[in-house]
Amino acid sequence: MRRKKESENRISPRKELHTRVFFEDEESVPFLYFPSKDISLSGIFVTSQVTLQPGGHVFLKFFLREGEPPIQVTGCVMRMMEPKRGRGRRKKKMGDLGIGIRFIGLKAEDLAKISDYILSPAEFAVHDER
Amino acid sequence: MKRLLFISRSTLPHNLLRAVLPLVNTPVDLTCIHSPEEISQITGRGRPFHMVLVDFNAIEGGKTGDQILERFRQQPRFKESSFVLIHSEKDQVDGSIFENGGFAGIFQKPFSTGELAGIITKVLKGEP
Repeated sequence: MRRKKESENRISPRKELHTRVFFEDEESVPFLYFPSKDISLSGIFVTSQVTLQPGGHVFLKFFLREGEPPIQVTGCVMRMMEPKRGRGRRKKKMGDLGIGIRFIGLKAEDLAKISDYILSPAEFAVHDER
Repeated sequence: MKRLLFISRSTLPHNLLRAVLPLVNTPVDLTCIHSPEEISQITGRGRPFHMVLVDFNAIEGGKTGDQILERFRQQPRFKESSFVLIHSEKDQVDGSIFENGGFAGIFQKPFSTGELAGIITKVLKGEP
């Protein structure tokens, strides 16, 4: 019996999204930002050089498309991807460190926006809004 | 080990800053408080702080840079500290008020993790 690939176990499909994901404080003021790699209906993956505690909650803000209002949502840190250490101490290239964040309580309108983005025929959005 | 005090009314940045510290080029002992009024609650046997990172959201309205520093400098543990202010764009901070008051630097949020670690590294090294 064939073992399923990890990608086949995903809850929802992912699409590349290269934008800044702002980590806000309790007053919705951005404190840090991380570049995103991809997004799905259930969450977003950002590249990072720091580790966060899995299970911790964060307040996120990011733009799907230029000119549109940002999506603001609470997230739960699900997983950290750290570089594998094997023989020869080969370093993974930059961009492979990251944080997987699950959306919590995403508004219906924002869910629709993300769905529309994922289903849109464009390959991926690349923008860098503040 | 360098000692860093972070003052921010918000708690989440405390955790985020703690996560960034491994990127700083030197070991850092971080203490976080929500306001200058909590200084008296800081333990640590009076060991000096090398750097104080102040979020504008923790400053009482109308206070100038030298007024803020004067309060801290009264305590021996802050006599030689470097003070850095961080603020958001909407705070519309006049940086000169704080620079003239003795702050080592004023920086606008948000930061990448590298930017924030770089600020802390430079200040702790004593670089301008």
